[in-house]
Amino acid sequence: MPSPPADVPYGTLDLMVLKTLEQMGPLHGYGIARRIEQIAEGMLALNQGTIYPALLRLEQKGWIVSEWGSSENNRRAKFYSITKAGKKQLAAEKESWARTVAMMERMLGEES
Amino acid sequence: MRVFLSRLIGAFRRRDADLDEEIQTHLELLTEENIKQGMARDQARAAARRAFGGVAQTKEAHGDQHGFRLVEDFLHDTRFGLRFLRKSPGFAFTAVATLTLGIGVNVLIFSFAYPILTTRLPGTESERLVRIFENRDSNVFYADYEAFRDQTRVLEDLAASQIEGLSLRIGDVPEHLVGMVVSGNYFHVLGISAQLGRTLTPNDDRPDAPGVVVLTDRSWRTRFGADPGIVGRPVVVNGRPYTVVGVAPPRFLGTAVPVIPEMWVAWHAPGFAPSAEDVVRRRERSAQVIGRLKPGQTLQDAQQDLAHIAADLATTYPENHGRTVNLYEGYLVAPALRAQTLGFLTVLLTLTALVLIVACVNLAGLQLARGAARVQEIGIRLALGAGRGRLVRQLLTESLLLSVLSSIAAVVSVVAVGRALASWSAVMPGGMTLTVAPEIGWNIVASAMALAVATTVLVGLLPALRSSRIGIVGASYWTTSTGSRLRGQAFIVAAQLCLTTVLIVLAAVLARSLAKAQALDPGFSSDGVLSASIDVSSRSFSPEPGARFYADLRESVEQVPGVISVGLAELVPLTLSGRSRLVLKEGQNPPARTDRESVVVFTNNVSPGFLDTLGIPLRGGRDFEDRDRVGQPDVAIINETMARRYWADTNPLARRFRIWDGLEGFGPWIEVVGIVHDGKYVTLGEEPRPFFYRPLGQSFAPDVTLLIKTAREPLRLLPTLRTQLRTFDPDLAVFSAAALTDQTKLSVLPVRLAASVAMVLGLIVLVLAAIGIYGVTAYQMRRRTREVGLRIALGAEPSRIVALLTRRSLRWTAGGIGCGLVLAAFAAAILRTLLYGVSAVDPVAFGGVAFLLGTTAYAAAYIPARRVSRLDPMVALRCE
Repeated sequence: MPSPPADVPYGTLDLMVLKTLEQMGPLHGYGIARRIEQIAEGMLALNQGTIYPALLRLEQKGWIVSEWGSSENNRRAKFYSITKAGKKQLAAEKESWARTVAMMERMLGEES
Repeated sequence: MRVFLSRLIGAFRRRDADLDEEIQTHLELLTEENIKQGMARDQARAAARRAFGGVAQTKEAHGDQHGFRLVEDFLHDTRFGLRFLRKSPGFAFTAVATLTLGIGVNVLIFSFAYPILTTRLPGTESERLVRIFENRDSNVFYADYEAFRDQTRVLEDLAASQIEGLSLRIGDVPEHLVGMVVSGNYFHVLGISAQLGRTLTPNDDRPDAPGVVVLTDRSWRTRFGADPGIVGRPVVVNGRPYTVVGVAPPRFLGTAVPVIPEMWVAWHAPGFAPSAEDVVRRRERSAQVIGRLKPGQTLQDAQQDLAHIAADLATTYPENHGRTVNLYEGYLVAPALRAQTLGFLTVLLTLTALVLIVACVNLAGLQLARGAARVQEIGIRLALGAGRGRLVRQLLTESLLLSVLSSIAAVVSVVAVGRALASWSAVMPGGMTLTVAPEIGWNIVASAMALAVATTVLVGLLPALRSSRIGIVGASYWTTSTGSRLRGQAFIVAAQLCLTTVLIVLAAVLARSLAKAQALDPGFSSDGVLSASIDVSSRSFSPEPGARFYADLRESVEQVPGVISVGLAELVPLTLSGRSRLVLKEGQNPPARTDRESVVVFTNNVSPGFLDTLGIPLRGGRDFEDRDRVGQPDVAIINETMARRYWADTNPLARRFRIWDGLEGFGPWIEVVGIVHDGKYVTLGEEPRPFFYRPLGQSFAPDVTLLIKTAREPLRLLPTLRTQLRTFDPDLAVFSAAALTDQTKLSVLPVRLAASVAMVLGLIVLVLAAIGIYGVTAYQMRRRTREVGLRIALGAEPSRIVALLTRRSLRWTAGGIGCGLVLAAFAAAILRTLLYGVSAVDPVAFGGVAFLLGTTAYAAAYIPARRVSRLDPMVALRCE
């Protein structure tokens, strides 16, 4: 039985959004949320609404940009895409994340 | 401002709309997805919403992220606050009126103080202008001015100026007015150019140059009807021909503010140039000096520079011994007057600050009461998840709203009052015009806003913090008041009463002092006496011809129909002017420096007929006569106090005394020829002081006042008097003509002013305190309605209920008033110099005020109490 869905760990949502945009190209908020859920495969309880403050935060930092376009159902939707600075940030975050994971693994592994 | 606001609001709207649309799209896409997976439409929509989470929270979080949250909340709170105030107009009105009064008086005082304290001298690059004085704040010897001007290395140039009374004849009517004599470079140093014609130049400042005048804008308009062809027009100044060469710009009012001259003439212009003898003896008129620093130089540099020159002068000339030079920033108002004004304004601002504090305390009391009434509302907000900080912010916003509304009202009323006052100007003795010009500008608005913020904190913070501390659970139970809260409110009422008592007692003591002062016997009668000043200094009379001129003048005036008697005096009694001398009787040695006070005697120079005109009775000897001239034996008339002090029980007639200059010099022997009844000379409140009169024929003064006793209304004599004087001497201008009764009122001006200020402020705080007491008591009554209902239902008499309800507030009232009386006794002691024949702890004033305030406080408590005691018990019991 799969473990019950966990809350989004603090600070990881930004990283997920950046990765999604890098991988998928321009996407609207709904698309980003769906993609994250798909990848998480039910391991994550994402309140889809929380995506929007995160998007604004990233935009303010200059890591993503937005542009109005039309969605699959012909509604106006904002499409977000990653910037160069965003890609650089993603790389840095990835590395630091990997380090953290490695460190945690060593720590937890030693204990057991 | 409005544009900015609308843009701001617009930005919010657009952003909100964008976000709405984005969320909408998201939800629809999600719904469609759900439908595809086989859900019914309704179900699909609900599922989509669930997956999305709270739409409102998302928006809020989004807003927080934007950082505009504070502003947005603020706008929201403001809207809410306005709605709230509209719902309780009584409270809103009371609060705004209270704060308007409190803020208004402070802003008004500030509007007067600000320009006096901050306005700099007019002119170009005025930050380079400095004021120069000798010793602390004495005018500069003209000879020293020349030395400074010629030897300085730090100052670009220095200008000298002095106020001088002069007579101006246009056509055949001579007028006495205030002019200013200035060095030729005066306008150039300041950097002022004429609006018409030209200003003065160094070429005009030579004894052989033709006489020219530059007019002020006001003088040009009032005296010459703003004649555009004024330049080149001949006028007669001090009996000599002059030509108008220019008109100064409207905003230039000279450099002796608050004294505003009507025209400028050169220092050495015809009739103004000092005599050769005075130049040699360095005794020319002294000057107010303004310097202009060279670019890059500082006040300190200039101070050092001039101090060197002054030190040289002090060693060269004996009269400069110990004389120092001092430089000050170039403010429009001279430093000595600035300091005085500052002192006076400090006292005034302290009083008005007290008023504002009373207003704030008052409002804080009301807010506390209301805070209690809003407990339920606040409880609900807390239950719905409002943060504590957010709640405090909302309550503070409401206070701020009140304060801002009040400041706006205050500024509007100050502008109105200021306009009214600005058109007022007082003609002072000597023909000077004083103008009071409050500056209505951004500074006023700024000060009002600063006060608004201060009052918000004072008024709102405590109640807001208190209210927000209520727990959710507490709120639902919180129906009966806790003891501490009631005590807090009662304390506020008591504090208010205490402050009110202080102000009103002061007002009452001063008012009684004023009444007593007006009933004091000045020792002379001013009824039916016209006083009119003349100034013949421009004719440089020596004493003998001067005395003859005065004798002829008296004779001429006596011929005017309706005149009973005429006298001349250098100083008019009871106009706050006095002059004293050190006097030694025959055989008396000069006292030690510390004992000088014992030989100080006040004096005045008068003509024959002065005593008769003022009805001062002779106790022995004779009045002055026309034969008391230079060359004849020097004579004096002394008062009874002087007779007692110098000659005790012996007869002083024919005894002699002389005037001592405090060093080595003694005047000639003066013989006592008459003794008069004691009187008041400088102020009404003064103790009896020794005094002597000298005849103008022997002690000549060129500026004197005609005192004319008439059987008619004094001012009605004026037209015939002027006609008579014109035939006597066409260049003799009469100025400051007034009934002597009105002039002597000047001596009680300080106490009158203090009494009216204290009275106005006292009444304001009395009203405030009454509102406060009423509000707080009424509120407490409402809270006890149920208890009262129960008592009534159980058979309590209405009178017992009233006694019960008012007992507590009476106790606090008594405490507040008692405390106020004690403080007032201290405060009144400080004002002792203004108290005439009234003790600082005047029982009438203290008792009266205690009674008045006690009654007011009781009434404020009694009225609501009675209302409650008349309630139908059924209604009362059901009220909560």
